[in-house]
Amino acid sequence: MINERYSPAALPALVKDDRVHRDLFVDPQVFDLEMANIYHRTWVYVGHESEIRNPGDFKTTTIGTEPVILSRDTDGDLHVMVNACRHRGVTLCEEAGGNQKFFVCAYHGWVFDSAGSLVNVPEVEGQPPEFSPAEFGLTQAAKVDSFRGFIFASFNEDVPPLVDHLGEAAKFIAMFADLSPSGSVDVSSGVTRYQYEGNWKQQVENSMDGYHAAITHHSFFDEVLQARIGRSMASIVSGSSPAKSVALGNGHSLIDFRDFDRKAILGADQPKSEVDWHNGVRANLEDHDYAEEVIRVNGGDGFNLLVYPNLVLINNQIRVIQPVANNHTEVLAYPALLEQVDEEINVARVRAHEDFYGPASFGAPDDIEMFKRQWQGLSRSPSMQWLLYNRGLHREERGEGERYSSQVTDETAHRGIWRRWVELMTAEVQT
Amino acid sequence: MNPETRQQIEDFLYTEARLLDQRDYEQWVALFAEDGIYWIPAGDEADPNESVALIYDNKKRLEERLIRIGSNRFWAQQPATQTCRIVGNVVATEAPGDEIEVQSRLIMTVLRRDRKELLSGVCDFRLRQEDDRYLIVNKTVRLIEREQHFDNLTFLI
Repeated sequence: MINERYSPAALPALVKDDRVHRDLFVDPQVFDLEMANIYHRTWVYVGHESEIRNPGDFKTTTIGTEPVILSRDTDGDLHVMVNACRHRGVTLCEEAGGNQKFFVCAYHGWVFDSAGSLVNVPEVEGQPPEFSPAEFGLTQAAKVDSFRGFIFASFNEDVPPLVDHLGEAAKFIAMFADLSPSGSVDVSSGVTRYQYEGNWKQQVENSMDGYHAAITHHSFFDEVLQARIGRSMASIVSGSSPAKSVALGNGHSLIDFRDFDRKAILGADQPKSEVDWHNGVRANLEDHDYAEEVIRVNGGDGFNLLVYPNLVLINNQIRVIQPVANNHTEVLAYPALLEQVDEEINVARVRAHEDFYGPASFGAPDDIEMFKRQWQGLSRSPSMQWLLYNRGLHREERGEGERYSSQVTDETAHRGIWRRWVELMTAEVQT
Repeated sequence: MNPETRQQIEDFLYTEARLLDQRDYEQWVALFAEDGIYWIPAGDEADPNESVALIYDNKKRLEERLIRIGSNRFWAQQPATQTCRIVGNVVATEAPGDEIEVQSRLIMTVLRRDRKELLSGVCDFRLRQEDDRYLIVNKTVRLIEREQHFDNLTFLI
């Protein structure tokens, strides 16, 4: 029985303008509803085209908790298929990725091709005459589409087109891709993986949290950087920074650092490889103003973009959030390489990833420590019912549509995320 | 290789492991040569420029770690991780340029709060003799767990 408090009529009472009820993080029943109403209702990021460039290439991932295979079939078309044999549900594919024409079930030998069609059943004469293999292809996502190399899938037949779903986020995905002179990033330099005891929404919120950085990351922003570059960078996330917390609509959101002129602080000296790279970007983009805007993303400090619910683009990182259970989350972090640039540019991007996002880096381990402490406090304290999301309510500005913007230490992005959460969790129809 | 040299190398490896267990990071970082590299791959790659690593530090970055370790806001090490390492199966061979290649196996128990883990791997060292001591030119540890989800390796391997 679903708790009546989580019915579409009652649920909005647990998400107020300035606060959210703790049970929405802690209750396993809410997690199950999220998997159905969010992860099986909207578009979910499943991988990048550069991970499966060739016919027969595949990778395994999840949509919510459901294991899927992202495959490029022999005609070059993309498929997202449930990683479970249609006979008895045995996983078909144990590898993280690879290239093969067929997926063969190790239990009874059923064979599926790279498009998910059932192409062989051992001892097929034992199937009744009316058995039709065409009906037992792998269960597939209803929709698969990609935008600038980023592949999304949905189990919802009626989901709006991907570009409508991405809305305002599309522009920022495009800028992330256009930093590469080819117009496409390359995700082929491996991945760092972490997990924590805690809820997936903690990582979503943290990715859009400008307020924590100066505190949680004090030892990096203030202490390490003081030694490395001769000054603290905490001002980028201070209360007087020009950076912004932005809700873009549909739950997508942004920490926008583009008005923070990092170059003015760090100097504008450019190595030749960087000059060549930026000229490559200029050569690729017809719109000169746009080209300069893209280049400035890297010259300034860019942006953190959340594509709700599970994709985050941060500087040179593609972060994928995978819910496992209400109290268990896995995160995959991929460096995004650029194409048609000097090798040293990409090596620097990989080293920068290790610097802040790896498991022994100067950034992520402190975030993860906060997720653990938050879970320890939050999950065991039913006497403290509400979590506060009020920062900037008095000063945020509403733009066009569902766009809201405020100072970087405000919680404008978080409120946008929760508005979308309520929308998806209470939608009566599958849209 | 003469038994005396071999014994010195084993002693060096035991000291290196003990400094990490005791969280004497200052002394540990001092074991690295100025051009030293500390590499914990995240996959099977042979070239650290090919792929993102769990850790890839030069001496400068190792020294930056000391800043974090000395900070009272190094949250990922509050509380500190306790470790206990066993080093064995030591094989040492002489390499060009007065350097020595050493391979060993590492098994370590890792305890933080109430969570206990076991990490294991193959350590490859390249050591250089300078004056009367050895310096680490390269330490590479291929953990058998390298493709698992790590939340915190800030205690270092």
